[in-house]
Amino acid sequence: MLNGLTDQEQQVKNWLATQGDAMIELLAELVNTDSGSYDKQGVDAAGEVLKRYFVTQGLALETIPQPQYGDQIRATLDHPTSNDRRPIILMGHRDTVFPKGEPKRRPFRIENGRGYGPGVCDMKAGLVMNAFVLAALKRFGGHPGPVIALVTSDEEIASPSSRPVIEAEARAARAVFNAEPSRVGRKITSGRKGGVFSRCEVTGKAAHSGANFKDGVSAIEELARKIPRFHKLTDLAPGTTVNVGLIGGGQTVNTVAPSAWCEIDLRYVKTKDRDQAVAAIREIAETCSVAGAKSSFTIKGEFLPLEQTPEAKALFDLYEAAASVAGFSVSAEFTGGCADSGYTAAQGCPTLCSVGPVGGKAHTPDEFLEIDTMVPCAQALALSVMRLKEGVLPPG
Amino acid sequence: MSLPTFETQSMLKGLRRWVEIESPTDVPEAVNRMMDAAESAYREAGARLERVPGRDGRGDHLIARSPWGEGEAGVLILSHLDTVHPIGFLERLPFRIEGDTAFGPGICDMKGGVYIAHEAFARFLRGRRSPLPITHLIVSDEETGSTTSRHLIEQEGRRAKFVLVTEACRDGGKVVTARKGVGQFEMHIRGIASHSGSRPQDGRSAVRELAQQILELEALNDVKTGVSVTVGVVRGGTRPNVIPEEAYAEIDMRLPTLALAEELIPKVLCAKAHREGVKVRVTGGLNRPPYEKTAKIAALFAHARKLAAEIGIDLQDVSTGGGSDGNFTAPFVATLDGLGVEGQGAHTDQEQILISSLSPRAMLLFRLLETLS
Repeated sequence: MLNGLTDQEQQVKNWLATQGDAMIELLAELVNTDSGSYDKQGVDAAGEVLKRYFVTQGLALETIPQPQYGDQIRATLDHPTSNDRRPIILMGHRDTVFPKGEPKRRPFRIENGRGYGPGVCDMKAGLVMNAFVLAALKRFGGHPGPVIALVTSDEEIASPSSRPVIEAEARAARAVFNAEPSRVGRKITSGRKGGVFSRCEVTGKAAHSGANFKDGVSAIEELARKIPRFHKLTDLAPGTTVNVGLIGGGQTVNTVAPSAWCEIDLRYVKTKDRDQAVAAIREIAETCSVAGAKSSFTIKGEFLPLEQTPEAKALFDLYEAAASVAGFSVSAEFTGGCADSGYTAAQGCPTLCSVGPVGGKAHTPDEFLEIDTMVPCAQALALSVMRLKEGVLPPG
Repeated sequence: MSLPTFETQSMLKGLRRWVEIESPTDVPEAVNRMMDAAESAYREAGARLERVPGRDGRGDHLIARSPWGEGEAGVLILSHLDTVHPIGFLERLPFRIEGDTAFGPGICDMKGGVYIAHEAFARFLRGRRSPLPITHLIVSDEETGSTTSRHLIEQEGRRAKFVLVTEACRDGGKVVTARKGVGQFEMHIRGIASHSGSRPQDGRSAVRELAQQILELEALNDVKTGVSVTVGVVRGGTRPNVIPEEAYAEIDMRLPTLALAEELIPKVLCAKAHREGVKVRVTGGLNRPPYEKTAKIAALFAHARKLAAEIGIDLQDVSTGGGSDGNFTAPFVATLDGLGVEGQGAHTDQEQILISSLSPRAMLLFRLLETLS
């Protein structure tokens, strides 16, 4: 042992240190493969880029086909002899929020140590890191049980098709590391809010605003009455917020609006707060005060909160120690942003989120990745996986 | 001289030709084909013609004048030949006759009215002489607010002693003696964007501000005064998980009197944001002034009512919320509107007229031209 590292740990760490250029090469190809959440063809093409890499590394692949969104992909590194058969999951999504053609407009590029391009940190760099960690473990061994890289297809739209796959994996798993980007200053995530994304549709009655004004029922007026009531549900003390993020409605300026709609984003901290908040939103959405107006409410998507548990804390401690071997120190902070890690945590699986390379400005054209963090983050993750032996985590 | 006859079948045949020339406002070459047909009809009858070239994506306007009474204040017949229906709508709504009803795009709004007015005017061009000179102004853009014709309408209106507008009549044959003024506005709101999950406290929602603005606008509705406000279109936000930076609304306001317009329009234009960091900007204003039933207009209606009685029509008048080009002239010259044909379903795929109204309505226009002095 050198510096307290086992031979295998040292080999893995050293090999990853030589893979910086290869990581960037794979990342460039992945960023330049257009993969907006609703573009199944593109998301699957991005999946192919990763699959090719897994195949060259001799890893077993499984594709779980999806009719509407991109397929789910699992690359498995088995461990036939371990007592604990529960796999360790390295999780990531390959869809992006960007419209079709974005990589053509903004292909991957590096400037002053930062990588740019759609999805560069959120979270294609994380996927590349996961792939190289799996490859390193395949090459040198030292993992305490099966390791699975799970590559999902639709996180940016609240994981409609990947959620059941993620939850099934989480129920069987020992722990989950989610490769969302860590934040500038080496901050990873200690907890996340839950989110419920819903839509309210209002129906009124069209009429000419001049000649038949009195025959009309304005769906826009009804919507305008609802919006302040939705916002009043915000209560910052427990961390509950409601945002009416998108609205639309009406036909022409001189027609009483026959229809209007809004999309509502609810965030909450504690699982116990969810049902009450959703019920309050539903009540406002479904009850109309403009005579003759009707409305409906649908939940379009949902993320569960990532709540802090003793197991998650133990996982953080393990990661923190591994990070210090890789040459950096980390801290954890709470965020209101949602991610797939909420699903795995809700299944009772110890989950650490935001272990991906450092980045920021996600979902904007200024999204960036700190290139030099790719290798150390991969090293820290690999060492964490290798050290996740029986008894390291408190019994759940 | 005895009264002329207005033969229904021949007018229906001519009107059919006009209906089958589609003329949506935003296709100027199509509107110009329609104007060509009207121009050649007037040329044959012997009118003095002026064609005012279209601009800003709109078609030409046509002016037909009587050869007599040049320079004197006369009667202005005010019409439009553009329609709201797009090209190809004729396949969905072909000209057809069912009993006493004829269907077709623009047949009611307002090709029927233009057609009978031209028939009435042509009777004078072909050998009679009216006490006052007659001008028929046919514009190409009424359905989109008459932006390229307004000055022409006002200019001809100022020269006239009476204005007769050939919009379709209302509710079983009523003519129009008052219309509300029309104000139209755009409201742009700018707030501050932020992520609704991680930084909700940093944002200022433009959508939330817009909702408050809409509620204040709705509060201006007043059944008693007849003021109505419609927020017809709204948009706002980019993604559900972003506090909206921008929101937008289109507002339509109907104002029965100039006094109400002067009181309420500044209120809309000066809307202020309710929260710091949010900006509200409103553009627009009075698009058509109120058309109020003045004493002169009441007298013109009384005259028309007497003429109508002679041909067996019990003429009633009505005020309406819908604007027309009559709004532009009514503030300064006696204007009578709704002198076109009887019909319904304007702007829809059921647009139709009552065939049996063609002849009496043509006669009423003829009698007005014959007697106004």
